[in-house]
Amino acid sequence: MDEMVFPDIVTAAIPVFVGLITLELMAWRAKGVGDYEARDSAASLIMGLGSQIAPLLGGTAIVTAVFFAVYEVRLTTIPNTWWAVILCFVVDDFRYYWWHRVSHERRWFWASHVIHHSSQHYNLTTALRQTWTGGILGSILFKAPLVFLGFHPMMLVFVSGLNLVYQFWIHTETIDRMGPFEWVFNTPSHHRVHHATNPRYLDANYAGTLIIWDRMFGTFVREDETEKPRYGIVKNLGTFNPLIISFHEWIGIFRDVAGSKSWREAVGYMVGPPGWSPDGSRMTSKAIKARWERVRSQNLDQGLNERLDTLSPVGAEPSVGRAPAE
Amino acid sequence: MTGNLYLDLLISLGGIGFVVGLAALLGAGEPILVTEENARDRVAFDEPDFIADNWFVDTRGKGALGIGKGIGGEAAEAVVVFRLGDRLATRRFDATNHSILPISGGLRVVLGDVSKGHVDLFLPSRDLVEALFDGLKRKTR
Repeated sequence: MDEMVFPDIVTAAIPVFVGLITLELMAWRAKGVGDYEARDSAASLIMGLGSQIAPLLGGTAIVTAVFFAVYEVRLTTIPNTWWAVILCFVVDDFRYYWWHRVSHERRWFWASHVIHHSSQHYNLTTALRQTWTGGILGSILFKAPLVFLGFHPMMLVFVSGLNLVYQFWIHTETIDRMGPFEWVFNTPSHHRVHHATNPRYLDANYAGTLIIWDRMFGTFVREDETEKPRYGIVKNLGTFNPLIISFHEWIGIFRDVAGSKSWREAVGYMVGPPGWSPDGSRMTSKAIKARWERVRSQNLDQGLNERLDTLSPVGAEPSVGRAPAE
Repeated sequence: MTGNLYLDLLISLGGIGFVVGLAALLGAGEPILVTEENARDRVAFDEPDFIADNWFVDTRGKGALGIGKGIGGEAAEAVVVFRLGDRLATRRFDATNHSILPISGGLRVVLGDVSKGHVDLFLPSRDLVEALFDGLKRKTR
């Protein structure tokens, strides 16, 4: 490896995280903007701490070993230079988009990622509500190809950390729209949409740093000022217990697979979209959107009929085109 | 951070304590009271195609049970709304599968959910509880 040294950017940023959370809390208290609940924040922060400890149980060692083994058979060698770091950041951000999208669309990955979405609050502590599981498979499947291309593993770890640090500040309601910056970069507004459970906002804005990937692949949704996001998951949790937060979806998968009547069902429960069931009795995000469209059009029809009834009561003849009675 | 895992843990826990303490100090811990109005609002968002015929609201404001329109018809769907801190959550379920049980002064909705096993609702009068169970019996007969 060349002389370039890559610092542990995530650990270095922790004091900044605490400082910004304190500022956001003050803003929440002073101006009423933002969104805090003490136990919810405690759960998020404990999840964050756990996410730093969990990899030490073996995940880091396994992923490191795989990365360096893959690096030995790399296609080419990309030098450790500043331009390579920028290139690696962009390529890794592209990698992040797809990893994130798969994490929402496939239950096996969702079981880890759901933790980050399990709070009904949206503030800077939510950013730290991170998973304790899923690091090994996610890293090997999605990051190892970049090592194979020739990026040094340490460079990849550094830019991934940078991406994570970038995403911290966008978990807030205290910052509104950001003008042209939003054309290219992920912002609080874009990410509020991503965390919302409003049907119109589901499955949108998977970006890490650059929102361009969502714009390119058709998953971009703009925050609608007339529809405030409601955060959480479509079936919100009933607990602040970090152990249940961490493992509830894994337990759900285990129960479903154990009760499966066939291999097809078992596989479907594991790698189908979240909410998949063999008889369609549960709701995937597509089904939730379809239901929302159906109810909305019914309500529109009903509203239109009521309006027509008001304008033209049953039995009354329409007055359009007639001369006014004298 | 320091290279010493235990010291790092201690510092991290101190940071968590600081933030949570500050949040609590600033008043970020008020639980919400479940009312028919906010339960309806939550259900309209979570289950927009569910129309409740009757609502049974816990006297302590910890939850509410909405029985679906189908109670006199073919289906007996229900939705229970419960609080988590200052937010509400819902579960929609089949009220005919013995998921609503009588308890002293109210009823227990058994969800069997990983994050919420059951919701206890205490109702203002015994008559209300009996009326609810009578309705369910008629339905499940």
